[in-house]
Amino acid sequence: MSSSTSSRIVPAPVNAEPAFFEQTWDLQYRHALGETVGGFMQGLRDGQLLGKSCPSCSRVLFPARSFCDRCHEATTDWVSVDTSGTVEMFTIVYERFPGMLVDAPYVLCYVLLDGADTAVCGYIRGVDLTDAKEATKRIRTGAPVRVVFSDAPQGKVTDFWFELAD
Amino acid sequence: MFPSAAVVGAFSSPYAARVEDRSLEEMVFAVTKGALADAGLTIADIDAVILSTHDQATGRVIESMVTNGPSGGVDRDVTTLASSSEHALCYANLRILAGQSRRVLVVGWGKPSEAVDPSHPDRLTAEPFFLRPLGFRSSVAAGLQASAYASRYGLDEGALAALRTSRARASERMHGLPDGHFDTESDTDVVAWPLTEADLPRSCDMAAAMVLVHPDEVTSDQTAAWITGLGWATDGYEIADRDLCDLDSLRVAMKMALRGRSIEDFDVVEMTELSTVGSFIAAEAMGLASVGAGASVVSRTTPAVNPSGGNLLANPGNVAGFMRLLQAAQQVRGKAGAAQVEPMPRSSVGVATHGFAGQGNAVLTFGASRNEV
Amino acid sequence: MRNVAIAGFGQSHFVKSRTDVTFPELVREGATLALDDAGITMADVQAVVFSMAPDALIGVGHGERWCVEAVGAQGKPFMRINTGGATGLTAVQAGYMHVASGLFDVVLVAGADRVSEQLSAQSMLNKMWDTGYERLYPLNTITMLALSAQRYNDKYGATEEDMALVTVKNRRHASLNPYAHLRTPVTVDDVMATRMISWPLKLADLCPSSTGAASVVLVSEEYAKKLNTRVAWVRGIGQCAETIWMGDRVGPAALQDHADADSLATAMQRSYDQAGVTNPREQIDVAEIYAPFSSVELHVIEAAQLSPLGESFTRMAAGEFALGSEGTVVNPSGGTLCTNPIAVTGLVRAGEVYLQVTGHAGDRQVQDASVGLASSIGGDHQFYASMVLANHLEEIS
Repeated sequence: MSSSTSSRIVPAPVNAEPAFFEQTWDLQYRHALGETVGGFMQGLRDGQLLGKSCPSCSRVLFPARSFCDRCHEATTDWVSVDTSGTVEMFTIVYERFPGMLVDAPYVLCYVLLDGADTAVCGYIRGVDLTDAKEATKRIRTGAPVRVVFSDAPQGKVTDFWFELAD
Repeated sequence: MFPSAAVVGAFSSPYAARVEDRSLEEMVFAVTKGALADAGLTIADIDAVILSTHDQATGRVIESMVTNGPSGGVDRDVTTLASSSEHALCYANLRILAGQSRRVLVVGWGKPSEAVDPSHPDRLTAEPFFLRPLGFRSSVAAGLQASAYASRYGLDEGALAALRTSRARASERMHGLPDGHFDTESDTDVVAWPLTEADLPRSCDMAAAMVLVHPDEVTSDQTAAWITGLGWATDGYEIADRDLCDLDSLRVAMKMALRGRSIEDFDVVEMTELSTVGSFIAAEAMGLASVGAGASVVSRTTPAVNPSGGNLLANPGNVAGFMRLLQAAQQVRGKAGAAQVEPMPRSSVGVATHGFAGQGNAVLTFGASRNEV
Repeated sequence: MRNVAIAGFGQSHFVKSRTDVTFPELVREGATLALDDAGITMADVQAVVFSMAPDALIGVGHGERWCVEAVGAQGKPFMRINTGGATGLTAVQAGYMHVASGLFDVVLVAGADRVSEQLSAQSMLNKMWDTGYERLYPLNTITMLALSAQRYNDKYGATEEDMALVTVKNRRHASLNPYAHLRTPVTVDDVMATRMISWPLKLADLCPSSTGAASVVLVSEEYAKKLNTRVAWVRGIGQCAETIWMGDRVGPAALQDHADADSLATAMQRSYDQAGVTNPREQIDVAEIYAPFSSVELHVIEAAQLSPLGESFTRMAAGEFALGSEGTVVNPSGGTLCTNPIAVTGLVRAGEVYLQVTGHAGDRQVQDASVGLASSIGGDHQFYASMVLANHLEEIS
């Protein structure tokens, strides 16, 4: 160390409190959805549930996708899928996570609609969720459900949800 | 050890300032199919997929999740490099050299149009305590670098104008755009002194994929670019600790990749240009020009420099560097399209640069034949 | 193929938050500990792999660029891996690849995380899913695994009490691990009394948000001989990726089941094949297998073939997989359930196995551990990495 530096040495400053920097990332995006997702949204507006089929494995991928990631092939035919289906798996969310989209409690599930080979994410509404034990007697893997469409569709996948059919 | 691997397939999406009719996933799917087709292979032939991501640039918290499927990564060994797209290519070589993979697919993309303000993700790469409150970003770093160079060596305005024009015309040829499409003469707004709009890269959307195979896997049906050298290095983050008139990490990467050969031995160079003045600095660091004389790169014909036009007019964010390596490979495969140098080059160098004022660099050298090492 | 070993490992004492250091300073802490453990300095390191998961957890885009000085990487080959939660182990595999390529003899793999500084982590993680469909639902890392837990329990008849056994076992292990974050032993009743987050997952079924650094040093065989210390040889590696679509993992057309960890089983089998492991239950002494929630450990034990499908919880209830038991000990460190610094949690798995097979695991040592398994998971159970380590290079028997 030079002598001019050594003459400048001072005692280390003492922090009374830890120091922080606070920041919110406020990033805005406009994501292109492409024709297939766009087509699905249009189908929703027309009251249709549309999937697309893979020419290689023949699965009907729902909601519609432009390619099959199992076969790495472009999908071909548009296929109409039914409004009845079965619960494959579900959870009941009780925690209020900061910044999440809906108020707890709610049911998030995957339903295999008749005519589709892949299950779709969605809400089950119309069930009392106050007691998980009671609710999970009715909501279970294998429970039949029906699709309910919103009266005020926005051209989004959340324009429909499920209700128990039994 | 060299050639470490061979590029037998490459494909990139056509130039577009903004791709609005296709999703990111669809762009990635198309280039992956294209590269495989170019190699005469299907996804079933691939034993490892390497993705390169920059999450905030397109607003996906883990980009690889949505791009893995279109890249053919389902049921396959997938690694994601997130420091820069060229590292994905370096890593592909390491896997093949290590004997862990025989045929590797490397996929990258840049879709800056999806960010409402693309400078915002860029500004988030500034460390938060001292640089971010100043609005630090790539253009500011490039301006600091150009300003340092101008102070030490002065700026040759004629050479800068010639560089801008040369790159604009070459880019128009490369991407099938009309002459004059890239207007470089009226973009005189200073962005970060001494750099104007025309001195800085212009954003575009692009996806790209390459197939690399073990040298013994190359078939007679395939057209190969043999990887004859490989090097990469990153400088420290603290910009004030670096000599901004130089690119130390590029010198290190070049030394590793050249393995004793001279840059003069090569027919074509495709290099990343973070700004026009940055191009002069890179040329000096590469040995294409002597120190302080980087402007002479504009008039170099051997090696040919950036016949594709480089990234100044077509800068696809995350894959700006990847595309230089792809273009360098395509030159020795005779597949560089409108940018093809004639007679066909026997050897090429690709230089990929990333980070503020070129913090990191990667260099790959390619040969048209297996013994071009 | 060239033999490569882990010759050093360093980890912080993991806690909720650290107000004494910045992110690069924290990274340096882990790197220095690993270098000291290996008996080398930064000057000896020839290349660096940086282990960092989503930028948004740290709040700096390309945060690895900020940390170059912290790992002494100026002017050296440097790259960063990000495979979500699997990052740490994929990064160790990348370090392995650097040395196995023949280009480098000494490689440092380093990173850190400060998860609790991200105040809206689950909302941020919701943006992992596609913009067309699934992002519109409140999917996050907790709900995605709650779905899996519900399906597993339904498929195999497991209960919330069975899941709680995992937390009980791992907290006891963590109480013996001075580096772990949550170290308080708990009972099944304690776990059952915690609040329901996303049925059937309760608070005590979930990992904490941890802060800390971790790092390993990987070396070639020639270099290991010069160091003349006990090392852990990388005997086999494997990776596999799954579809992002959880809805594709159910129903008659599915190839994998979201109740199970089928693609993890594939990754593990690939590492077993390379290592010559033919009977995991007999040959793997210790398994540090990434499981951020109690329910996840049940199906990763099965993916590792340490138990037949659907039997891990009955075996655990019978005392298997715990320190002191016969057979493979699972997560003697307490695992990811007790300590989860996301960016390096997979690296810690490899580091803990290294400690075990070199006999340096202190109070959590598995007696005579010779062969170990490390694994990690990223995305929505989408990216999987597996590694077999041993303290010798002979055939695994």
